[in-house]
Amino acid sequence: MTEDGVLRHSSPVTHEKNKKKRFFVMKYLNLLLLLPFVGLLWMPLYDRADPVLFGFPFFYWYQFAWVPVTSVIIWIVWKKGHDA
Amino acid sequence: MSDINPWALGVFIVFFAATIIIGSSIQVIRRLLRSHSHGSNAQEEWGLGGRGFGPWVTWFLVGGDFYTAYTVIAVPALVYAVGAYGFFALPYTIIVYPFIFLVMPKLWKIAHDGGHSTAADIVRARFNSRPLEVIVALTGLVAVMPYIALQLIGIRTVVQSLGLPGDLPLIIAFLSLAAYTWMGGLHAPALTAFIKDIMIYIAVLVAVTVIPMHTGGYAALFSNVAPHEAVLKAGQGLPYATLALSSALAAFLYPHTLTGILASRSADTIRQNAVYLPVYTIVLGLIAMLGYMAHAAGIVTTNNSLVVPMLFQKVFPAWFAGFCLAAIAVGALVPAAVMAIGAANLVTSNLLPAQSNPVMASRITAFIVKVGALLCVLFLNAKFAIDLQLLGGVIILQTFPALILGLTRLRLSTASMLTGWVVGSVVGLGLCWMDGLKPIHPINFGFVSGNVSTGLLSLGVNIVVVLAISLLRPGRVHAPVAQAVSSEAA
Repeated sequence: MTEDGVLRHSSPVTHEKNKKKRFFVMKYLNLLLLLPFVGLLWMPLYDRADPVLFGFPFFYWYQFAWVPVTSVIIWIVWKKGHDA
Repeated sequence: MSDINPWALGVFIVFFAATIIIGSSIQVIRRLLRSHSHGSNAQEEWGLGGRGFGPWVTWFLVGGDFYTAYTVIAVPALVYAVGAYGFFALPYTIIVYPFIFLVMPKLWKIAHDGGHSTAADIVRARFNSRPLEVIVALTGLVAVMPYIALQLIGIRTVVQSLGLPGDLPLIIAFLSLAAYTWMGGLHAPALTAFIKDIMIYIAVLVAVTVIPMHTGGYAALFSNVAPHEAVLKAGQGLPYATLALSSALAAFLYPHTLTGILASRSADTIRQNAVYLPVYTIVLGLIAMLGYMAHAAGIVTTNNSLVVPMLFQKVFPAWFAGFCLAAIAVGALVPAAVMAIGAANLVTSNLLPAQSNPVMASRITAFIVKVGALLCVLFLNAKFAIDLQLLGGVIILQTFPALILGLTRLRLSTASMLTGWVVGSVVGLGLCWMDGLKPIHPINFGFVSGNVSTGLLSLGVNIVVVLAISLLRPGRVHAPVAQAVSSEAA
């Protein structure tokens, strides 16, 4: 898919060693960003009513739950990107 | 609907008018306060706000033009009418952030280094092609029209629900938008985005806590909905996922969303924002719930767009309903202004030769864009207001290959881009036309069959054409892009 293509080409090939190391760290970290796509676009994963939480059928609270999870994933990749 | 409540109308007028006046006079106020000029020209000042917005302003600005009449009118209307299926806006506004995080800092870097202020500038620099620049600019210009039309419908609906008769609501919607943008430029929405967001948050947080108390809590909300409507119906999974994906890919290709991105101070401001912007998504999900709350509160209407205004007026005291309706109207006005300015930037910097008075040219173009939006309201007979936004998505997605795939090191050629755009646009708009503006189209490839987002389908065709032609006759890797991508990671 398209976003996959963007991912794969998001880091450059460079000849310096430390940059190369960083390149690999970022490459694998960036894969984390695929998780929300898988979790939210693969419908059989959550298209059902049970279990109900606080009155919300699974379909709804599962999707709500992905909001903070996605924020945390992006935050991790952002922080690690700074440190690497 | 015909009787006017003076309290609701009075409070509405005060808040709505105050926003327009503050926004319109901001340029004057700034001119009075500013002791020294910091070197940016008037055009960059009117259009990109001087390219100096930090994390907080960017957070409000980008969130501001993302959460619009689409969120408060169109999504609940869809949920009210079709149930769970209307929630595709929720996964859409989640997966868009990893996408922004990965892609937009690169675009910002290229735009910053090259001094570009629009998508068309970036594409011209990447492919060194004037025809491609013109096509990207025109696409952006046309794509925002149905999207602004959705905002006009939002304001019209609100004014309508206050009891004003006939064509008056649409006239008020159009004139308020025109006055607001003409005077203020981008500084108007940047400042009023704070006002707008605070108003929307008050309205929404009260609505999502008070209304369920009237209707017996969230559990009762779903027990009132027929069980088979609480989740997707058979065959809705594929359109749900593909509409979410195509909306997410389209969201930041629009001139107005890109304006918000390019106006930020640094690439890291954008990354940081991708962490915090999802807060808006929680709000969006709760607003979508208003569609169910309307059922629980016994709202019956054939005009789906009226669901939220009617719900507010039924549950809240008149003065607070007036405040909430003003919040919705301002929530449509601010992003519509940003959209018109984004489109105007395209025309002045990419379509017209250099102007002696670019601010005036931008103003006139922004006005023409709004007239185009008005024509969309009058002549496009979409079943749901949200279909207008999805139509804009089909159009703008055809610039995805040039703008986003252009960021990669793939050796894509200009000819492939032009051909892909033509084929994708013809397929996308042709299918929309045939399907009566319905945003999904049935496909059957054997291994996968069902309804698929027309935007995603036409983008797929576009990309296949681009890759096929580039494979036969590769283009060259453009130096500035390769450079920007390398230094991005360094």
